[in-house]
Order: sequence, then C-alpha cells, then structure tokens
Amino acid sequence: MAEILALDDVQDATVLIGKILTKKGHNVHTFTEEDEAIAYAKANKVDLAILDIKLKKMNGIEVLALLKTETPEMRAIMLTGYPTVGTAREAISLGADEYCVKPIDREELEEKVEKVLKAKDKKSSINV
Amino acid sequence: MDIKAINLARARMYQFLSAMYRDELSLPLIQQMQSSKFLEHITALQKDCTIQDFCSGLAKMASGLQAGTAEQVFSELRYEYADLFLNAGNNPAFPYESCYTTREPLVMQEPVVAIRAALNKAGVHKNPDYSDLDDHIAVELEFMRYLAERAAYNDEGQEQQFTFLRNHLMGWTVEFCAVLASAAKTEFYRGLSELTMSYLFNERMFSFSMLSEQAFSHDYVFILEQMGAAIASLDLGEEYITIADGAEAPDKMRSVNSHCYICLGLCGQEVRVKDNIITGCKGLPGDPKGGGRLCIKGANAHNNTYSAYRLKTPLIKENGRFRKASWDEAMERTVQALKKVDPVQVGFHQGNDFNMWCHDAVMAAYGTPNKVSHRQMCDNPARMANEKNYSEKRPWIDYANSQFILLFGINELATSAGQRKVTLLKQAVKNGAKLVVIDPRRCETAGIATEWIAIKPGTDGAMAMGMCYVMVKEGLYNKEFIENWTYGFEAFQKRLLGQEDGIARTPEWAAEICGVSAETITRLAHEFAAAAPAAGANSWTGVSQGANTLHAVQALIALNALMGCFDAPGGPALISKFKLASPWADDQPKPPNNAAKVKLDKGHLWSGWIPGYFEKDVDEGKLKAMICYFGNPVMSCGNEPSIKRAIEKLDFSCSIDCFMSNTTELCDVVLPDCTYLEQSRVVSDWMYEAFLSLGQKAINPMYQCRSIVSIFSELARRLGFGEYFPWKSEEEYMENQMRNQAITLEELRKVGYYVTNEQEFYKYKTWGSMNPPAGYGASGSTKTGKYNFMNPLAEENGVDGLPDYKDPWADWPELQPDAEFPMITGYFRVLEHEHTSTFWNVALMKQCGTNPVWINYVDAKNLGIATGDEVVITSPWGEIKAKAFVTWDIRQGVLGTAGGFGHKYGLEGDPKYPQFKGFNTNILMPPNVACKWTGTPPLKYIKTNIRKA
Ligand code: SF4
Repeated sequence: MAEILALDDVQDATVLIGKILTKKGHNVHTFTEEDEAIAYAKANKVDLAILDIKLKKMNGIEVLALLKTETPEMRAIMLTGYPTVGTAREAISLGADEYCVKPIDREELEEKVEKVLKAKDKKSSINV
Repeated sequence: MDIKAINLARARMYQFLSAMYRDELSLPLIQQMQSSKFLEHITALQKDCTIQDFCSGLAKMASGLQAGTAEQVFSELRYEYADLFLNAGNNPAFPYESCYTTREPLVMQEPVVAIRAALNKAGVHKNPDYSDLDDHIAVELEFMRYLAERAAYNDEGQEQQFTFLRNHLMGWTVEFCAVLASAAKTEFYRGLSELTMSYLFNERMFSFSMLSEQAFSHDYVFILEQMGAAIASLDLGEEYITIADGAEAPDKMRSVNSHCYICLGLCGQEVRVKDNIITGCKGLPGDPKGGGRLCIKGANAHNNTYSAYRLKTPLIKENGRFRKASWDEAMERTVQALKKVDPVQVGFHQGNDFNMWCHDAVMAAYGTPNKVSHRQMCDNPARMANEKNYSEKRPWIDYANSQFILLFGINELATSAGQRKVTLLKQAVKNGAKLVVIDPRRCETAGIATEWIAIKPGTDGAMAMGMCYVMVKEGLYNKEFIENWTYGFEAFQKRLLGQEDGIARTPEWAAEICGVSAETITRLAHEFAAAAPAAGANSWTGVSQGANTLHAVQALIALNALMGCFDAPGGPALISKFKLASPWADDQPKPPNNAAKVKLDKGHLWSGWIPGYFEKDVDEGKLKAMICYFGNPVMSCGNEPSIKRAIEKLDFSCSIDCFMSNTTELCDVVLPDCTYLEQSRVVSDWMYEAFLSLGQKAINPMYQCRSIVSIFSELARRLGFGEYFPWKSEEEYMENQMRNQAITLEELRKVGYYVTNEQEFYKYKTWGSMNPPAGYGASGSTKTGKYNFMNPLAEENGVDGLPDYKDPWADWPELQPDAEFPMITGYFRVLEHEHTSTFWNVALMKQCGTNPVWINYVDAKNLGIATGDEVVITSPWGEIKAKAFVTWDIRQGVLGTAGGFGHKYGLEGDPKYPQFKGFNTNILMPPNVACKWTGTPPLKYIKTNIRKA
C-alpha cells in the first residue's frame, strides 16, 4: 500500500485516478489546486505523485521540480493529454519515472503504478 | 476511408517510420523524398492539418530534406545517423526499448523477451538478416505494420495491435523521441522525432476509438490519407525487412563455462544464457584461477557486451565525420592504405590481446616490425627484469603457505579481486601471515595488511637494496641456493657493500632516499629472513610506472633469491604452463614472417616501437600508419594531447574496437570488434597448477561485429596471405591447438578448464634449471638456468645489470619535483575498472563513476582544500580540474586518483549522464617521455602543484 498524491486540474480525472488506485489498496490524496498539493506533500509522506502536465497556475513539470527538491526519492508519473517532445524532455530530466498519456486507461494506470512502486530503484534521470 | 483502407494507410505509415529508423537513408530514397510528388503531398497536408506536432515534425523533416542537393542531404544524414544510432557520436539516441525501462544504456533486457513472445504469438520472428536487435524501434514499428496489414487483409480484430502499441511502443517512444529531439543536430531527425511521437499518440487515440466503437478523428484520417499518398510515391518495397515469417520458440536456458577476459585474469566464469540472451555471470566452481568467484567486473562482464554504446557496423571517416560502411568497403580501404605504406612505417598497437597468435602472424606476414602490446605501458621494467633473471614476468606468491608477504606497489585486492590467489592472501593474513604493503597510498591491500609503509614514490629500489644489504652483511642469506642456483652474486654483494662505488646500500643510505626509517628497513629484512623460505616479495605497476625502475624490481625480487624462496611453500612460485599445439595443423602452411629486423626506437634494454615516443616517431617520419586493436593509446601510453596529435598526423589509422573512444575517434576506419563473450579461445594458463582455460563464446556476435580471428584472417586474405589463415570456424583452430592434450575440445567445453599439472614445490630441482622443461612454457627464460642477480641482457648490452636504486629523474631532469611543482601525481587502479575499457559499462560506472583526487590531510590543510572542493592540478605540461578527497591514506606530497577516466565517449562523454565524469592524469605528463631502459612511460611520476579552483 502506498501514499499516492494525484494532481489534475480536472476533478473528474482525479476522482477516476482515486477510484482506480484505492481499489488497489493505496491511499490516494487528490487535488485540483497546485498549492494545496504542494502543501500536502511538504507535510506528509508521498511515495508516488501522479501529476497532470496541464494545470491551472503552474504546469506539472514545475510541480514535479518542487516536489523533487523536497523528496528526491519520491516516484512520479506524469499525465498528459497530448505528449510533446518538449514536456517529455523536461519530465525525463527531472526524473519522472513514467509518462502516461490521457485519457486514463485503467489497466495501463494500474500497471504503471505497480511497476513504478515495485522497481528497486527510482529510474535515473537523464539530461535531455 | 473504410476500415480496411485505414488499416492499410496506417500500415504504410508504420512502414515509412520503420524505414526512417531502420538504417541510414539511401541516396535514391532521399531523391524520392525530395521529389515534387512526395513534397506536394506533404505541403498539402501541412496546409490543412490541425494536428500541430505532426505538422511541425513534418515541416522540419521537409526543411531538412530541402537543405541541399540530394547528395548533400544524403551525406549530412548518414553522418548524423552514425552519430545518433551507430554510436559514432557521444550523444546517441538509443533506439531500443530496453534502454528506456531503466533509462540506462543497456540492451537485451526484459523487453526483448516480451517482444520475442509477441512476435512469436503473431507467427513471426525477428529477421536474422537484420543485424540489429529485436527491440529496435524499426522492428516494433514494422511489427505494427504487419499487424495492421493482417487486420486489413484478414479482417482480423485489432486488439493484438493495440495491446502491442500500449505495452511497447507507447511505453517508451515518448522518452526515445525526447532523447532524439535533444540529441539530433539536423532538422530532419528532430522533425522525425516529433512526427513519431505525434503519430503514435494519435494511434493510441485511434485505438481508444476502435475499442470503444466510437467514430475516429477526421483529422487523423486526413493525415493517413495524405501521408499514404506521399509514402506511395516512395519506393519502400513490399517485403518486410526486420521481421520474417514463422514463429520461433525460445531457446532453453543453458550454461556456458568460460573464463573472464575483462582484466585478462581469466577467472572461471559460468555464463547463463536464455534464448540467446546472457542473463548473468557467476564464478565457475572448481576453476583453478577464480576458485569459483568473480570480482564485480567479471560479474558484470555481460553489461560490457550489452552496453548500448557498442559499435555496430564498420565506420569510415569522411570530411572529419564518421559514416556507416560495409565490411567490404572498410576492409578494402584499410588494405589499400596498408599497401601504399612501407610496412616498416606501420605501427601495430594491440591493447589487451585476444587470440594474439593470429593477429601477430597476420601483421608479421604483412611485414610490420613495429608491434606494441600492453606490456610497455604496464610493467615492462618488471618483465625485463624477471623474464631475463629467471623465467616469469611476475611470480605469484604461494600465499596459502606464506608467513611473510612483502608487496611493493601491487594492490592485489583491487586488481586481481576475482582470483583465487586473493582469497588465499586474505586467508593467510587471517591465519597470521604478516603482510607488509609498500605504497604511497593506503590501497585496499594495505587496508588488510599488518603494516602499511607509505614510501616516497619511485624509491622502492632503495628500500629493497637496504633490506638486501642487511641480509648479505649479516650473512642471513641462503648460501646453498646462492651457490647452486644463482648467477652474479659476488658482483651484487660488492655493490651492496659499497665495494664497487664506495656507497654501501645500508638501511641508513636507503632511509635518506625513501623516507622509511633505517630501523624499519632492518627489521623487515630480519622478519623476511626469519620467515624464509615461506616468504615472498613481489611488485607491479606501482613500482614499474615510475621512471628508472628496472633495477628497483631486480632489487626487490633479489630478496626472494637471497633467501632461496623461489618455489618454496609460501614463496614465489615458478610458473610452468603445459603448452598448446600450433593453431595450424601439420599440413597447413605457416605464414611467413616478412617483418624487417629493424627497431623503431632503441632503449638500453628494450627496443622496438615505444608508444611513449609516438609523436616524435611520427614527426621524424618513422611512422605513417597505425592499426590499433583493443587499445586506447591516446589515454594510456603517455601525454594524451601528444599521442592524439601523433595519430592525427598519420596518413592512415584503423581501429578495431567495441566502442568509440578517445583513440578510435581519430581513426580513418573503425571496425567493430566482438566482446570476449562473443568469441572463443583456448589458453594454457597457470595458478599454482598448470591448466587449460577455455574462453567459450556464449552468444553469437552482435550487430555486424566480427571475431578478431575472422577480421584478421580477412585482412590477410586481402593482403595476399589468405592461404595461411584457412580456418573455417573457431573449432578448427582450437582443435588444432588441443591436438597434443589429454582432453578433447568437446570435453573441455563441458567443464571449461582442465588441470594438466598439479601444484608442486621446488620444481627447479626436478627440472635441473629455473626454466621449465620442454613442452612447458613461461613468459621468459634464464640463459644460465639459474637466478641471475646480474641481468644477462644488460650484461650483453654493456649496461648496468645489477639491482639498485636509480634516481627517477636521472635521465629526465625535467621530471624532478621542484618548488613550483612539488607534488608527485599518479593514478591507481580501482576494483571497478580495468584500464580504460570498462567506462561504457553502466553497472560499473554506477559503482565508480568519477575520480576525485586524493590529497593528504596536512597538504590539504596547508592549501585550504577540503573534501569536495574543486581543485586545479597543474604540471609544466598540462592542467586539469578535479574534486578533492582529503585523507590520511596517502603520503604527504603525493596526489593520486583512479585511472582510466577522461573519456570523450560512453557514459563519461554522454551529456545525458552528467554524473559520470573524471579526468586522465596523463594530460599532465610530459610528451615523448619513456623509461630509457624499458620504454615504460612514467605514468605515476608527474610533478605537479594543486590549488583550490
Ligand atoms: S579478476 Fe575480475 S575482471 Fe579479472 S578475470 Fe577475474 S573476474 Fe574477471
């Protein structure tokens, strides 16, 4: 069982993530506001953050950078409705473990979360 | 478009993308892509397309295609293809799924197993004629084409496609495209990365629509229509290139008994192979060399083979850049260049050799007298001393029975960590044997020693002479051995006692030079003598890579001779290996040796090509071309910038290697070598016992790499000596080599080793000589049959042949430390790396990925340096930056760092992995310097200063 933070500007998406992963036995803390998510991560243990790239005030990459400075060993999965080379480069350089393309596919999300949490080591970041 | 048409258009698109990645683009294909037909469709698509990234990618590709004439674009793209996908550049975009599961540069990982299973399930397999790997992006894309076509023609369901898309391509291509976009320098490949990512994303959306039976996007259908028409104007052919019909069941797990070649220590290795993928390496139980263990390098040997930085095809340099070449073209280029030069002006540089008997014979038939191996840069002083004074380059002490072990500049625990002798050394120390380590640095071996003596660099000879003096002066030596089994004792005695030059080599005299007290020297001499003959002294590169150290090695090995320790239980063992027969069968003609009897460079004892003088030899017109096999002279043989200039000034150079390196990058032709796990050899070896050791091929050569025997046999054929290199397979020459043995090759394959002679003591008494008998070999031989205090070769050459200490700077005054450059800098070897050859291996780099410079606490304090500070080390010849590591474990006035670092390629050179970075101390060396006796460059004796950056 892991502590999972999910941040997406669309509430439905966070609800869906919450449903899928709670069923798998995880504690999922969902947010639509960046500052609330960041504040939560500062005060609580987070094993895995699932971050949408397109948010309201910041983008998911900036949030990832902030969370990583707080908790470098935290695992991260980035969500995007539309992958671009630019955001993928930033996410990899910041050490996001996986990159998930929306719409959320239940099986895929379950598999990726499982894989990321089970991996012995956090995936290395590569500078691209 | 109906669903069939859509599937066919999707298949075309996959085919197109696969073709873009599968190989460099051919000139005709570029011409077709530059044609108005193709470009018109692209332009039409761009006008109305609403999928932004797709269009942007396409626009970049089109602009790249229109950047010049077809020939210009073709050249530019093939250079870039070589850089990005064939590892000619330092920032490759690895096109393999394996590299993205961990983001580490390793191929043949779990995804390959999954891909094979998916292909198998679909009734196809990776086409063996396609020399790249199963999880190459081109294979995955072509498999999608296959599935889409099957859906179109057979009206099959789409699930299999979409599962594959989701489980494979979508899982890694986002990252791959990001890496490609960042690494690519041409608009074409940057555009291709965007196009690929966008297309696959749209494919995924298409899969959602199909699975949920919703209408699919019109924008996407529009793209498919336009791209389908554009692609139809290209001649991509109908056939599949990377996959072939027929399911192939996976091969069973098997074990291959072999021997590790990473450091040439040849520890027995069991290589586990499943479906022709090496899954791991472990020690081979019972093997005499490793005793069932491997060091970290041996345990990760397959990660060298599977490093994603491997060279895959021959490369030829054109306009200063590499491009792919066929074997035929690359070989022909090499042979024509060799034919143009006088063979006496060609240097053959081999690093750690593999099947040396073959490449030596080819180069000798060609007529090159200038052959150089690893020995000069390694420990030629020790070899020139020991191989002439008795019969072996480096005696191994019988640690199991030893009471007193004296090691000068040899860090067994790091350099020979996998070998059985190290286990025996550790056990001996545990059981109470005294281990004394003489080293300016507290190396790992010093860490377990009873006593660590932090000697002044380059002065080991003085300390050993002081000890010999005590033994002789006090009459402690073994008179029976001296009388019957040595030559030159009287002369040596005279020198020790000062009867030759008025300077007695007393402990007090020695103490002044080496910084070790006279009491310690005397005490150690007494302890050694008391333990003898169960005592041994030995040395390695810590001594040899200073300057003027031949006589020092003679002095420290003389301790063994004075006390009659050779071949005693607990003393240095005399080596005898049961020789193999010739690789040439009795009825096969032997190649001629056409090498002129000339020596490129002349030393007092060693003559031949001395690569320390590389630039000088080139400047003097003595060298015009080089063939380099498995070597990295730029990083290892002397001043790095000087050797780089030397190679650049040659008319021609060819490198045969597994990786792009600081040397390979300078060559005109690069031929991709196999790692040792992809080729075989049989060796007659020794570890107290004499035994046969099989290096057995675990997997077939990867990519387009070839075994060294096949490369040199082909070179011979093209040079006109083909008849002398006739073998059709590895088995053929190995069977020839084993025709005098009690065991067949087939039997040897099962076990991996075969002991021909058990351990014996005092063999020389049975032999009647210090040389092994006929049929047995060692690496040298003594002319007198005895141990020579007086080096016979030196005696012949009329130069000093007695043990002694000589000033390191006597021949090279500029080496002497002074007020401006008071520190002596050198490198040391670490457990995790072997010379310069393991820096493409991510498993080892993760253990040791940088080389801070060790500085003594007092020196650091005086200079205001703390651990982690950036420092600048300067010599009269160069300057480098490093991080400081402040410690008590190094002598004052000495700086040391791990060797082998400073690569421009592999993990150190790759900007994707900035955490791996180090420096090469050789940059600080003087150019064109080598020991005047033996040709070894003073790699561990560089005067420098250090300051905080
Ligand atoms: S010591 Fe290590 S690298 Fe050398 S042969 Fe043995 S296992 Fe291989």
